[in-house]
Amino acid sequence: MVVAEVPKLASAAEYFFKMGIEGKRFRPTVLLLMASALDMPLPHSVVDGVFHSLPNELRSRQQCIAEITEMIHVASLLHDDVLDDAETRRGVGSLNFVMGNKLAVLAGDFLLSRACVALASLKNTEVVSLLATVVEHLVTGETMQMSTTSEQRCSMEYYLQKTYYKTASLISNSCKAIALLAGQTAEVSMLAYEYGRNLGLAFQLIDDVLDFTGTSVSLGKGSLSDIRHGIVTAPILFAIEEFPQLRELVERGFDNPNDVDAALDYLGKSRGIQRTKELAQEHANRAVKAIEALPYSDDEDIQMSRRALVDLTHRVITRTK
Amino acid sequence: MYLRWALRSLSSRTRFFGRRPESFLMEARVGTLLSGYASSSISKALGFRESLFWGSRGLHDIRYQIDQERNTLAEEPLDPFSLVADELSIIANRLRAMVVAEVPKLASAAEYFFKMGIEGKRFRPTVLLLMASALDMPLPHSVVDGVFHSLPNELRSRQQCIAEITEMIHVASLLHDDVLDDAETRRGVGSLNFVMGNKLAVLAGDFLLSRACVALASLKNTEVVSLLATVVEHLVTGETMQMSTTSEQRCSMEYYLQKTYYKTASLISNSCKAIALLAGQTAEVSMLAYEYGRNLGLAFQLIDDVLDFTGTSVSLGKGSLSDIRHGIVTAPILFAIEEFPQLRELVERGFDNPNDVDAALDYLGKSRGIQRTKELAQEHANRAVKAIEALPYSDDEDIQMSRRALVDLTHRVITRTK
Repeated sequence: MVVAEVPKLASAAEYFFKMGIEGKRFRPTVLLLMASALDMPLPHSVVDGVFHSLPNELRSRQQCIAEITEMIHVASLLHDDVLDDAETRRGVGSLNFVMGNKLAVLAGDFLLSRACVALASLKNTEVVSLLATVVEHLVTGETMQMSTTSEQRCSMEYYLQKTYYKTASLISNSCKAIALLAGQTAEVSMLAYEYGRNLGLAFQLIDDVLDFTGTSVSLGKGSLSDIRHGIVTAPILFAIEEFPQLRELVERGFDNPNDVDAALDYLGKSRGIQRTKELAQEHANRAVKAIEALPYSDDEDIQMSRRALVDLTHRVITRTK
Repeated sequence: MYLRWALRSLSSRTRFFGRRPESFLMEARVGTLLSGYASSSISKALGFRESLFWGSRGLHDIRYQIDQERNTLAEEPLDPFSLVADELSIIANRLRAMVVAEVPKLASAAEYFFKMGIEGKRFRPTVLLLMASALDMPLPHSVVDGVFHSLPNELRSRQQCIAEITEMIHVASLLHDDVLDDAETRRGVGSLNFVMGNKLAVLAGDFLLSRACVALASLKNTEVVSLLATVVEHLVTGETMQMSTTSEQRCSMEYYLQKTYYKTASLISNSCKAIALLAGQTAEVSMLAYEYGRNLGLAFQLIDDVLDFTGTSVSLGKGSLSDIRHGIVTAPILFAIEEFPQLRELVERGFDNPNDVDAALDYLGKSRGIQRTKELAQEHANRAVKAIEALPYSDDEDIQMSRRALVDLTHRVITRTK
């Protein structure tokens, strides 16, 4: 789908889809499992407003959602790296570093437009709306991160809203889209949405913890890239509640490595890491509840997919990288 | 008594003297314009119309007066832009409202180019609104756009939405292009990237694009969504074609015209088609709308190429020469290469050396490059006119006026000097 007429554009666009560096393909996994988990026969045979006689057709439409989601995700990565002057991504040179900012911006636009065309081909305007809103959220989240007042930087509420926009919106709305394509009711679609949203938030919160702890439980073994970029995450925000002095450090920014060390010191004395883990667990639990609330089915495959979705919430919490 | 009756007819959608009430507004509006009033607001038009009815003579005299006006108007030169001036302001206001964002910095970035005074000539929205009027024919059945839209108002606002979406896509592409080109100015003011930084410019472009997508989705017409999504893809492809050409491609007229279609004409042609589709027109009529937009866009770009060399003077070299200085090879040069193969070598060298620029201008002046480009532009303008003439006949005054305006636009595109 990312083959383009112009060879340079094609190699730019498929940069992150090459075998080996597609990422963990986490999102498509969730979406395909959700599709299977919702594969219940409906009382009437009209699905999605149009009569799709073959289950195959529904499945390929849902796969299309997974593809579109990946394209939107990679497009946002490409633009983010331009914005952040990043040099590496997924262990290789970032596209902007290798081919220049211009081609990276263009490639991001190209992926976005291909996603839009694919979206249009699904002929379901509610789904188009959902995923168009996601793109808007990604932009809003990135801007929230770029331009915060110091009061906003220390606000947990602002942080969670930004995290929803940047991370959870994509997965939650595409889960909902999967459900809508399957012709599910509004309630079931909301459950799919809630699963995605809570999973996404849990994922990001653990991500924040790992940035400090890395592969070791003790502090400071992580990459510390967030704090070094002046990005204030949940553990620090919790720590500020116990140590108001930390707030002053936050407002100074973290250009000074001594400030970084001081902040880590406060963080270690506080319950910041633990409370973030607890919040992540809470979101993971809500995700599980959403799956458990789905209409009962005795179908073997459906039950297996739902167990897998529950299992994913555990993996998100317990992972070490 | 006449006034009350007339106002009641105005508020209903019935035909009045065989013409729709809006046509009176249109005529009155044009009438006030001709009388030299600065504003063509609806209230003024109503006032003008009201004054017709205070006459103590019978309605048939009023009809006579109006018929007289109609004849006069047919001979007056049309200003296409003023025909849609009111709607354009409505659209501009809606655009500004649509780009309001939660995050203030993003909002000011996004609305940078929608601020009063630098919205550009609003050429595209003008074309689209005129096309909407030109295709405002009653259809044999009352189902429009696959859904029963009982009010013509609803169709019109959906078509206005297309104009807004088109502007958002256009500005988004400008924002990204300026980042790509490290441009410092745009529309006479600092480019957004120059003023606020590349990052915010990239983000603002993404934001506008996403707003356009959301607006597109709200129209609930997947064919239209497809069309305009394809446009975004074309814009990207065109920009990339421009960025990364082999030297063989750079000297190819075919490659150049394809790139020009992608970069310039695709947006206007596909949105014209979208206008027609929303109006429930047939595939043939939609294709005519598409052909008009495509040829108009190509003609526009070809004259743009000429003006870059000639500027406000007919002689060469008075233009800004920005294309050639950026190493962008346009139609006049491509034609000149056919007469002077040596020019090709210069092109392949790029134009970093100002001496090369002068040498190229020299060849261009000796060649028929400029003239042939103008001829090609005229040919496309003629095809655009033919597309309008091929539209199904209508005796409706407004429709005829809009179509004349569309034809007039093709002339303006060719004869403009900036």
